[in-house]
Amino acid sequence: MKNKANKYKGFWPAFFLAPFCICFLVFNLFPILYSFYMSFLDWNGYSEKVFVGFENYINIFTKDTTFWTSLVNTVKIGIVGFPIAIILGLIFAAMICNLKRFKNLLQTVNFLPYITTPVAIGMIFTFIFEKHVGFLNRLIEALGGEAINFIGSPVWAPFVISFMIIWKCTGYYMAMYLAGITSISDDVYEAARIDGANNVQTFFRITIPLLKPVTIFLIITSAIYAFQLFDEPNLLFTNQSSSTVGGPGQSCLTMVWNFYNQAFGANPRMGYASALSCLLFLIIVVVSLIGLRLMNGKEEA
Amino acid sequence: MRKVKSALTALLLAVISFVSVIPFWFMFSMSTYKSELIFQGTPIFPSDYFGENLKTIFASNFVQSYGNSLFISIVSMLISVIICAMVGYAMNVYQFRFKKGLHLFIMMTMMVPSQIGIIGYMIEMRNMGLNTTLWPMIFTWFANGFGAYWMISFIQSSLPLELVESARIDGASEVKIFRSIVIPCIRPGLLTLCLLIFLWSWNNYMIPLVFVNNANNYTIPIFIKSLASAYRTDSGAQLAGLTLATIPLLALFIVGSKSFIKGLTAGAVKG
Amino acid sequence: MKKKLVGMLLTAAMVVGLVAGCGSSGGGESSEADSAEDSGTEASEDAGEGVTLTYWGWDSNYYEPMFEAYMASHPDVKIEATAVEWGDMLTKVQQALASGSELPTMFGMDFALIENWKDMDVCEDLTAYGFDKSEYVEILVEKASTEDGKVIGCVENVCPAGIAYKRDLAKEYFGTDDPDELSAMFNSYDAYAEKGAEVYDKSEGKVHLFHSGQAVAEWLYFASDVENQTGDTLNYTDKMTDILSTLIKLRDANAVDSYQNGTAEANATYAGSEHIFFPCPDWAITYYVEANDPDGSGNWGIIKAPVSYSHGGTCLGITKQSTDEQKQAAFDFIKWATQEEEGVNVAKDKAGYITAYTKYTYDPDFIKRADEDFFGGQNISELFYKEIVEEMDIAPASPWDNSITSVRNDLAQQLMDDKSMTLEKALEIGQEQLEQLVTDDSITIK
Repeated sequence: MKNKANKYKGFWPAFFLAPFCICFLVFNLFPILYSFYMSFLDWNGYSEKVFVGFENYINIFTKDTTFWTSLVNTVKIGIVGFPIAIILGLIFAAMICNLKRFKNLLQTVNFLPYITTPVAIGMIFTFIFEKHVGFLNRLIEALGGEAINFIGSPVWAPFVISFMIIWKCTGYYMAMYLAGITSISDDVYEAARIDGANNVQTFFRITIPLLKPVTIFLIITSAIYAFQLFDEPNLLFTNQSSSTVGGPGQSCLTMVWNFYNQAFGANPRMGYASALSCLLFLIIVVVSLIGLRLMNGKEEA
Repeated sequence: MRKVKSALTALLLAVISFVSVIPFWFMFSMSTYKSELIFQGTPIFPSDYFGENLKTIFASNFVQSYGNSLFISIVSMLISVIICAMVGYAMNVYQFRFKKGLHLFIMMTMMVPSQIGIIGYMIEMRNMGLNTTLWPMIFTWFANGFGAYWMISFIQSSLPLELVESARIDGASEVKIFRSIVIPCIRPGLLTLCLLIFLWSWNNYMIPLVFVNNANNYTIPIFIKSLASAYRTDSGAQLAGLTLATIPLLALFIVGSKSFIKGLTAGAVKG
Repeated sequence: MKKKLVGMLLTAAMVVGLVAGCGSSGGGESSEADSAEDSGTEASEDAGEGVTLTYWGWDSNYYEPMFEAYMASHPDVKIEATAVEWGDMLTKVQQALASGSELPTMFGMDFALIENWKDMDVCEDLTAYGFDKSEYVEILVEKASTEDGKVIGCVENVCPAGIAYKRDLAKEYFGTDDPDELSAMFNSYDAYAEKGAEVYDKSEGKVHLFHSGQAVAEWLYFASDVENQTGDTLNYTDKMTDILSTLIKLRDANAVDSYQNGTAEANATYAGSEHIFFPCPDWAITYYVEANDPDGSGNWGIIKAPVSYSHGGTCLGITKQSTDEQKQAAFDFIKWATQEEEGVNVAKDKAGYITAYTKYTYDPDFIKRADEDFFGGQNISELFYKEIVEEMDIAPASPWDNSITSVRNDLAQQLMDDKSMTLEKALEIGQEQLEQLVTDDSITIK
């Protein structure tokens, strides 16, 4: 009997957890550790590796303004995009959760952006926002306005990326919230109604507080997603003959794009790029820890 | 008053849905035009060039890229989901030392993006001799932190532990319990995770961008990009390829949308 | 019932997954084997006697017809091409080197990045195979040569560049579509600015001379004789001033529209009627003009730019990693493509490329292009391959050209976006960017 109990403490947990842990160590953790080791090297991918100690890190903090530009860009794009997407997702979820008809249809339709390949998003958004042929500018001109060079201007371009995020993620967040709302028991709403609360009041007093776990989850995952932004800006601004690193005035150079360019650009610096990626890792860990704190706080309460 | 309100709601929902759908629609409608014509009018309504565009992409190695993408996504999805379900099972059913620490660890893994170690990963794959295969694009999905975390919460909310207990008393082995009791119990959660991982690996861009350097290993996004290198940027053909590439995702989500929401409901939400 | 079905499907999927999982762990490279199967069977059939070469490149307008013709006349050689986007070429090779993946036997190297290719040192020295530098156009072959006399790649073609124009628009706005008269009319950048302003006013703001500030900047970049690098100094300010002051002059005269060069919508302007001139290297005739305006035959003409220049150019290199047999076969192909009658004619007729092998380049009978009808019968062959080739010069490349080009593209775009931006401001922005992009401390940017 005692043996058996031990089995449930020793062998079987290990059996079920081993695949995950091994795969994580081999395919996720090891590469990061290796990158950490490489961050002390000066290496362009094909030459001799030279050990340079902390020089890469020192350079990032003392010389490299691009790193800070990319950090600011990433935060800027994320801070404009994600909160709006989350709030919109919440509002739409609240709006459609009580619909009797079309609920499924609306949900599926609004989920479409999330499943669209980034490559397609890049092309389609060019078509919508481009100055001369863009759908939106045609619309603006038809209404008597003047076309705006959304994609070519350092002022507007980050907003286009933010808008891409909003467009892409709102449906996903909505689905998450919808799921959350569905899991709130009807009794709570019933009680509120008896107390004479109207829809807006129930939304603010009941729906939002009860959805807090979902909100925290979405904030954390979107923060992580924000620091990984690469596909959208890269695909919007890379083409054959007018490629720029980071879009107009580098206004859309995100941290991962900067990393990618350092690692795989025309003048590659794998060691330096590794140092960048380690810093990025550190930032994400800090952000996640803050998020975890929030989550645990919830559990205690 | 009430009618006005619901009419307003309906209108708002219609507008939002329109915004969601319109780019998607453009993708389809633009793919039915000849590239030169796409930018000369406003291609709101489909034209008749879809067949020609399809011919163009089928003439290059679209089918193989499609197959590669399918292979990558299906294998990643299946293995990753099984691994994650195992974690979920272990974390809910067993009591063991370091469980709390492990829980924290898994939460942390959720936050480690695969892009960060890509240089190290590249070298690792080289040393394993796998860098010219499709495996580097599959392995990254195996230990998916999000999936593990997801499965832990899902099993917590939808697996009655008594079921496991009574099966044990009946003498069922752990593997059998997992396979024939737990898996059926958590089907909606599994399906949801399947859909998400399939979607993410299907649309993945950066890892194939780094690893694929052989036409035989193209995935869909890389294939579509490579079309830009031929004579000119053949947008019509590119979009036709993208439209086709969206079909499996669309089918999966339409078929699975009910379970998908069910899975979401019981999953992360209760985290 | 439905639940059962879903359950069954799921189980089935899992079984497949497990089988696939097991199969893969045993097979190791099974996916590779799978994917190589369809092409592999053919390859293995003739592997006994023949040789298979692999190629990476973006210029399918050239390599597709060339490989097809070569394989037809050389059945023992098989060439497999992988399309790689222009912007990804260098990256792909670097990644392959860093990750130890296999390189192709041959690849295309753009002149714009030739110094980076030299640094990478992955190419065979062609002179070891009997490549004779003196048989090729000197300025081109020099560009692909290293300081110690190695030749890392054989230039595919000569790339003289002119300015293409649309005849109907020229007639409408300048009263003539005759190339000689237009050449005389547009003999300086100032003339372009002056006429550009006229056209803009006459069309009430609809028609510009050029479609893209980036395209104009690219043209001026190649036309400029300022060297990007001398010693350890990048002559950034000189070079950019040279280019951007002219661009600003043209911009302020409303001669340039603000498309982003190379995008699909920009390419569509070739077929439109709002832009008259397009900077046009000879390879762009097939690559851009004919491809983007297929119905425009007869409506195009070409004039010389104020400064005759050369733009682009691709070298074929052979990688050191290849087997000796492959290397020799690859060199045979290169010889065929640039020196032998069959090859050079395929290149000329199918791709519009004129070899830089002087025996043909300077042969007035050979250089006759097949597509002069597209240009209303204008003798563009003589214009390109006699007049411009003789006058053109090429500024030497530097390993930082990619960064400089990126900055140039960005500045051109910003200048077009913000019409009030001055040269000083643009130079300042660019200097800042370039200092970040140029990571070698021993380089000073002036």
